[in-house]
Amino acid sequence: MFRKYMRPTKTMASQLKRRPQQTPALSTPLFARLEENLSAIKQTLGNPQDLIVRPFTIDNASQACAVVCIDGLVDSDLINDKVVKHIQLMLPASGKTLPPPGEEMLTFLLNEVLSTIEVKRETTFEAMYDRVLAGDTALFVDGAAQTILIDSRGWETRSIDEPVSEGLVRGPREGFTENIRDNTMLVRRRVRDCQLRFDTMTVGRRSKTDLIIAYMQDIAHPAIVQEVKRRLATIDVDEVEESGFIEQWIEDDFLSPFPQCQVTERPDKVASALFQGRVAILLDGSPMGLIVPVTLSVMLHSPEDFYERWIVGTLARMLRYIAAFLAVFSPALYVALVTYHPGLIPSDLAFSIAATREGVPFPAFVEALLMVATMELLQEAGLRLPKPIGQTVGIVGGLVIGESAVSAGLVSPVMVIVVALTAIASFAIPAYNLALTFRMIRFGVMFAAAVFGLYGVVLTFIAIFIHLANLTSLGVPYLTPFAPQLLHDWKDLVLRAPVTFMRKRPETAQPTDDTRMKTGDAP
Amino acid sequence: MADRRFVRTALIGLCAFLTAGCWDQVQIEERGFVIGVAIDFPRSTAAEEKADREAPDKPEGRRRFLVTHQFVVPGGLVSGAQERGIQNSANQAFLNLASEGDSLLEISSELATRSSRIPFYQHLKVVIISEAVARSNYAFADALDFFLRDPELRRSSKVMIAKGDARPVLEISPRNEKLPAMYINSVAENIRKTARMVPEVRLGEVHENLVNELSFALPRITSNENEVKVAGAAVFHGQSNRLVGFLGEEETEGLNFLTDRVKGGMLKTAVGRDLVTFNVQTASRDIRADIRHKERMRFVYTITCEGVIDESFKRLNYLNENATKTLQDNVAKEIERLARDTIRKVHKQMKTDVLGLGSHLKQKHPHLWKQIKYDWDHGRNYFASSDIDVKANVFIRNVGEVNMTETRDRLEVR
Repeated sequence: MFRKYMRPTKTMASQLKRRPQQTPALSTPLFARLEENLSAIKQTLGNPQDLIVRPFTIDNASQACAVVCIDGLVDSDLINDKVVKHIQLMLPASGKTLPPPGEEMLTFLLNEVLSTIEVKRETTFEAMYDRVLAGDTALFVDGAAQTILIDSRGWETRSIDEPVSEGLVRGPREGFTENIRDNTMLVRRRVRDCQLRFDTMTVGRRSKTDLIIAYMQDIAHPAIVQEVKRRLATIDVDEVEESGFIEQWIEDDFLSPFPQCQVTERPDKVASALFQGRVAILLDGSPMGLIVPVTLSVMLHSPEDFYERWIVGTLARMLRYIAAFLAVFSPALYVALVTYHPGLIPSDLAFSIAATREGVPFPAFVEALLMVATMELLQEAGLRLPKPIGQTVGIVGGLVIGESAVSAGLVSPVMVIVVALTAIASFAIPAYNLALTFRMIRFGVMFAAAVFGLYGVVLTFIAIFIHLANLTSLGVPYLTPFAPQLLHDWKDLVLRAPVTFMRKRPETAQPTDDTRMKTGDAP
Repeated sequence: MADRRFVRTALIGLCAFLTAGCWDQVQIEERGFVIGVAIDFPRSTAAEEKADREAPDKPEGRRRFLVTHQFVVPGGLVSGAQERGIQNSANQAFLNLASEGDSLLEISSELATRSSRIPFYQHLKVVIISEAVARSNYAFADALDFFLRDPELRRSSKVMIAKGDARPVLEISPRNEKLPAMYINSVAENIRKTARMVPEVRLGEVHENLVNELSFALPRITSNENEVKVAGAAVFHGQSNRLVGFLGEEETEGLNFLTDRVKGGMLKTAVGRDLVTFNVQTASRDIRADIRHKERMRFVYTITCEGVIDESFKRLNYLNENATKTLQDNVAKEIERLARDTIRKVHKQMKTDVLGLGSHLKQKHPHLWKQIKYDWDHGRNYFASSDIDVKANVFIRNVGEVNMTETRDRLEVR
């Protein structure tokens, strides 16, 4: 049943054929002489200001050494305390007999002197550059065609903050940061299970960004994990700035307006997705994790549905499904009813709408377009500006433009209400990317309403759902559990059943271990 | 190649949108919402003579109608419309346009030449027909044909019969409402408080009755300058589809009890010389028919009525069961009196079955009905030769919040 959903797209397959895997193009061995190594490094990197090359000698100047690192990326205290100080001060004081210079000295230093946890030997320039540019320190010993790479990453990072785009009243206040180590830490703290897998990849031919595929070995369906890895392996770009690049490379249908990855900066969301057998993708430098596969219903759910009691959660969910409908269809319904079907509006309302539209120079569609477009402008402008000014824009735009547009007779007050309702409804969608989609579709539906009335609204409604029924996210149908009807999953859909009812994991992602509760198995 | 095909498909699609779309787009403020229509016969023949002089050969109807349309003027509905620069000198929320002609569609299209807004009938609330039109042969059905046939019109508009002319009913200026037709529409829905009006009859129901040749009653409406009164009933004969007469307010109350349409209202009864007023909450009726002889059928109505005592000028001790029982009997007698008055009028004088006996027979005794349906309240008129009796049972469910307003009883002046 599952294999049917796993249908690699034509473009994916051709990409796979065309491109070789990311292997280092060349591997230049390190020189044995220290001087040559150092000058080669300086030349390759262009001897930048932040390159630190610190030569020193040990064993009464018989052995020349040097540390190479990038200023700012390394924790200089660590290099001072654990490397240079150990070698220069404590080694002579210990009274150990030193081996002859060259490779033996290097091994001796590696095994007996250096007291940091992550240490590695490398023999090529490329491997050395990769690590040094990522914040490691290279220790060269004259006479050895090798280098010791010491993990000394210690750049300034942002502290763990509250997730800005997904605030909650109840629930953890931690959000992902740009540092992937922090992010894996945040996830692992929530999932203390040996089956948690963090598979590492590097993406970006030049940016060489770290990427982590997180999943539960015994829950996630192997086909999904494999497919995620296959698609990630096809990525062939210079640089990857944000997880959005990844999302666009691995999505099933790049023509669809609907997002096919869930984007979150909440580690608790990632953890709960892992327990449902889904796969998370974390990218270094991006505080936004991706979760695949995703369904439409998941995007309308919020973690708070589970943190609050089930009645509250259920009500909030119903509200959000209604909000999703309103966010897309309410301006269109207004246009259709006002221009084509005033008979469907209750009499008194029809008269008062007619009264408020008296003197409005535009047809309802233009009026709606004007207001919705203004709304979009305001939203966009508010995003660009710093927070305090952004609020001012909201007030200026919302109150002043709305009020004066009405009193100038450009739009009717009912239209302002409809637009405000639409905007609020789209803010109620927990997934920002889905809300963006809705904002986009809204215009299409409005156009159909202006041309064909309610008939057009119904047509676009059907068209949207035909598309949704056809869409997949990593092979999982987008409307699951509605359209491939998985009745077990309906417990956690529009209704959010009490947690004690959910003995099985959702079937949507086809988990290999589907039991949540061991006791009292449900029939 | 593929590109050209795409462009061609897109062009065809666009044409479909641009040529077929926006077909009947009319902005809401450009529609003239017709909320009430009054149908009269014209008072003078001047217009008709003029038309005859101009075009003597054109097809003509048997009779001409004077139709008054009530349009909503939305600007007048908004308080403070003047400040917002919307001009409306009279600040009236409605506009009545009257026009004369022999076809209602002709009149409707003639209005489009005089009004800035196209008549739009989907919000039509009331159709008021004058007594003269209703009494005239065929004119009643003729007048309604346009309203039933045109798809834009709804079958849910209420139909009422004006005592006298219909046009003045729409020309009142109600004090607490801005739109006369909406005001009439609301008044006609107050059947929970009174049984003296016929519950709303919709255009669709009138049509059913016209087609089925059943007699029916429509609400009667009267008006003066500022208000209307919806009370009483206009009785239509099922075969001729003509108005045969009006029932008064109390007779309408009796009719409502007999046709099981009482939703509320009150009944006065005298205990000694003092009034006790009974508030009706529910009422139902049951018909028993003795159909052994077609010529002398016998029908017995049993009316069961429940309610509360809401006003009592007689200081009765309602905690006493006997007092309540006596009162129940008194109220029952009052119901019987109302019903008998009504029966006397419609059965003996009008000989028109608005009591629903015909449809009772149709439902319960279809074989018999097939034989007699052409001789029911016309022809041999089995209805008129039948015998109708009424019995009423009353249950007082509650005697009010207090037992007695004062303990002292009234001194009887002998």
